[in-house]
Amino acid sequence: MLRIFATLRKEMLVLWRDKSGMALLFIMPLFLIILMALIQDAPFKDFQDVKFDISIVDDDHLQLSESLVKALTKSNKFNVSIKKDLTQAREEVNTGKTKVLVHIPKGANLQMEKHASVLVSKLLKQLGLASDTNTSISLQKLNISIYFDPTANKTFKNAIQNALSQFVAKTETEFILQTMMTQLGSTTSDESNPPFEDINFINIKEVSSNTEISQLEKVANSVQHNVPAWTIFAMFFIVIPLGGALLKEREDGSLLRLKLMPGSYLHIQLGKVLFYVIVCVIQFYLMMLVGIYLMPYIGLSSLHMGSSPVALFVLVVCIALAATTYGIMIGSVFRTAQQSLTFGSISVVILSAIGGIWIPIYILPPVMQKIAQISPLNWALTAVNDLFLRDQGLLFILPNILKLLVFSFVCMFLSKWAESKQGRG
Amino acid sequence: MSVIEIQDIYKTYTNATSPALNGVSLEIKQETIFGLLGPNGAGKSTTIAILSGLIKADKGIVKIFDKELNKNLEDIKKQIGIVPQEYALFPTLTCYENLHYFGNLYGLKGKALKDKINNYLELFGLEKNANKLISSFSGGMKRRVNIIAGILHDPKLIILDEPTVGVDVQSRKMIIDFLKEYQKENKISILYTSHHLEEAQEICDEIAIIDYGKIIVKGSPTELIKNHQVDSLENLFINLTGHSVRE
Repeated sequence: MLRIFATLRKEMLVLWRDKSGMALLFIMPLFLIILMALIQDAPFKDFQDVKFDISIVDDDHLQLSESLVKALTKSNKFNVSIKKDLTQAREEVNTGKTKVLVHIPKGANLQMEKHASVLVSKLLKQLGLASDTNTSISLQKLNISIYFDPTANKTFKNAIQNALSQFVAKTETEFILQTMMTQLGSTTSDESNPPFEDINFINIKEVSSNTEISQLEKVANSVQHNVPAWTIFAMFFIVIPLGGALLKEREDGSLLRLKLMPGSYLHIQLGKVLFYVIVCVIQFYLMMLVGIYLMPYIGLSSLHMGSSPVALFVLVVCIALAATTYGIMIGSVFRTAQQSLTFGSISVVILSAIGGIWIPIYILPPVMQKIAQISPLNWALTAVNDLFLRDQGLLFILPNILKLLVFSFVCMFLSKWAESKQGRG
Repeated sequence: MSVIEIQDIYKTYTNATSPALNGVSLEIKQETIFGLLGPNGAGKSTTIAILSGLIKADKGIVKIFDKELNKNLEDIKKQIGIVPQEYALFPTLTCYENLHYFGNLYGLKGKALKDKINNYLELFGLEKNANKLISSFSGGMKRRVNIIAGILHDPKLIILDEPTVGVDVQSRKMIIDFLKEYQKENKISILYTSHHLEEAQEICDEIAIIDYGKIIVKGSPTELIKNHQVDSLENLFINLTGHSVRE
């Protein structure tokens, strides 16, 4: 035990004096999680939660366009601004000043009225409520044009088009019903109490599948993804100070002395692993505190950490173990600091990219989702999400914990093998 | 009684064209200072690496304290102190922290360890620099700390690989005087390698010159100088190993 704790103390002193290593372990993740949570906040929000700026050029100025503008404004999903000149408005879209432009052409209302009239006449005739009228008039489709900023992505376009289609359909239905009432000679309608106000009777409401946590109204928001994701990334980035420290030991000969000492070298490695596992665990919980207490101050949601603190602690220790042993493996396998730092940092970036750290894996294509399964960072993040978002316990995350432990043993085995290969030349 | 007994050991490194050790046999007696001398690449460091248990000989027998090394490595390690050619210290730890850590690894702790470290620091003139980082030390100071780190556990045999390389005259004298004194006081054995032949002549009871992985001569310096009719160990060395510069 003396050898293990002496090594732990020694590692603490070495890291304490390594200012860049300390910054890499504690300052870098702090900036990363704040920056990434802020950057990814908007894309993470449901399109329904975001207000889009939309310009409308109304060349008709009649009931149809007024109803549409009113519906869009009332929906609380769009910031509507009315433009007069189509050419100028299109130029604004082209230069990115406006993201979306809707053009209602002149005569749109009249065309809509005719269309509604024909439809209602046909219907009333079929019901035997109207005499013969000319229902064979063929009308051209009414085109409302929509212009997008050329840089707008497909998801954004689809979201806007779907929302607009919804409003157009509602306005069209109201037109038809009003025409029908007019033709039937109804007098019940008055301006203050329109009969079709609640035309959308059926409402689709999202309910949490876990009744125990429904009141928490948790969603996979930017904070909920980025805080644990980039913390896991930073934990694995321990490969840089740890791998570097190991190579430094080899280069300055101190590793040689450690191997010349009586007693098992395993004790020294255990002390090293123990220390860096503690550092990673501290790193994780510090970042979680940032997620809980600092994020709301910068306008983001507070982090929810689930309801299984014991399971979380076990998981964090396993992630820390995987990260530490990976660092030891990198420091043992490579012979120069240059090789170790390059491979270490690039491999962690790649494993994090494929593991869903940068963006959640459900956004990735199916092939990448399968590839993600090989990344230890993905096992870690999946298990954290299981605890944080699904409110699961230790049993549920056990498969990922086992994967992380197996990964740690493989890393330690490879380190030992590499060390044994590197005898004194 | 012999402390180290090496019988006909061979060692060839992977991808090497010639053997590093080609049938080396040596016997180092108790309470003596033995110098293993030779030009660069002669096989000195390989011999020490085998004696330290860092690498294994391909063939041959190595016995330390009458015990076969490979079978009793851990037991033997406890009784020997190795001072490698490298500084083998943590540059971002202070002198005291380095020695305290190595002391702990030897199983020493508490006041006993503290007293021992302070005693050695005083003996080597390092007491004022105890709390300075090793990275700020000169080569000579690092060599002295390196020796203290190798003898903290009171070994019966000390193996030193080039303990005075790259140090100034004062530090070298301090190290040599300490080794002579320490050996006499504690009745221990010392095996050391060096390029400084005058130094070897001064402190060694016995020497062996190794070249191309073979022991070419061994005996007491005085005897060897007399038998080979030369005026110094350096001339004997040149006569036996030649004038060509080694890589």
